[in-house]
Amino acid sequence: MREFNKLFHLALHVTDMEKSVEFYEKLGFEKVFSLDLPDGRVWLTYIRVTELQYLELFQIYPDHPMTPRDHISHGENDFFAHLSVLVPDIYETAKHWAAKGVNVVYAPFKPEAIPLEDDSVIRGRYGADKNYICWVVDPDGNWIEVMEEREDSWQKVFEEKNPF
Amino acid sequence: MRDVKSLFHINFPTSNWDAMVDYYVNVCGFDQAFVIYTADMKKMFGQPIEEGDDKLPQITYIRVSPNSYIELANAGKDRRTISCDPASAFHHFSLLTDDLERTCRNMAAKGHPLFNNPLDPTPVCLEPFSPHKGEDGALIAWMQDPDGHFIEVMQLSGNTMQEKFERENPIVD
Repeated sequence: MREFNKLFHLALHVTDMEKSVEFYEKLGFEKVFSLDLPDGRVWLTYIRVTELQYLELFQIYPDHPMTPRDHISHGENDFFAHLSVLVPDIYETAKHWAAKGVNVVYAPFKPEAIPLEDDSVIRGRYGADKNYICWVVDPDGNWIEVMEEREDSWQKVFEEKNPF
Repeated sequence: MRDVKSLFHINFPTSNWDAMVDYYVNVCGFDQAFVIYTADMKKMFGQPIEEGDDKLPQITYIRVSPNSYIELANAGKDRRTISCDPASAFHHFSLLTDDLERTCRNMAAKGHPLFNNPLDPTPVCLEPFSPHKGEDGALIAWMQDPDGHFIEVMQLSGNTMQEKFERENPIVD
């Protein structure tokens, strides 16, 4: 029996809750609920990525003891690099998001907008694990890797050989 | 139609490769899906492959559940990887369990007792089992990986705020 059966949420610090919620709504995610601090200011907001998978956004208040990041970041290595979402059709997704004003780019080290006239640029290249990839970045600079699995995707092949 | 179907992975750069892989695979019990070695990366970028590159790991994918992975990146001493901004906004991530009491007992038996919250490293009381209940209605305990990332372990009740939301707003494609 498995001890854990779901990656439930990823929590991020945000500097401007309204801006962040607006950004994630452009990606098609819904605001689930917010919880407030005792003084009435917003503490956190749940954003749904998909069924029972969420982002949990924590508003940073430099004057509040619960939220500054050093209160929860005890380990010296405890930063992360990025998160990733899986999409069935990366070209359609890139077009939807670009139409809403989201900058869809090649990579964090090549943050130039991908031309979307046709899918040849976005599907003309793929990662070492054989997935098509593009990237977007949230208002706080958190990078989001958008992935579509090719037939030979290493993750897809693994899932087929090792059903859960 | 919804663009995104899964929170696919969370990427952590690490300087403690062996300890981090051991924690997620052997302690947490997740499946190691595959390793991308330096040679694989160099092949992709068209760079010359040197001796030992086929044994030096760059990336591993560790499966939490279908289409959801923890991705570890072997970051070397300076902990920087190609897609890493050290000014991270990371707070924590969360895993679901069906039975928080079982998980707390099993993890304690492995020498990794769960604790009450990141600010209170007191192990969760097991006799009687008395975990913290969150404002969302879930039972909650915490653990920490070898690099210090906090992991919130949650057991849903059937009536948490998240489950109510899911019932009222089912995803339809």
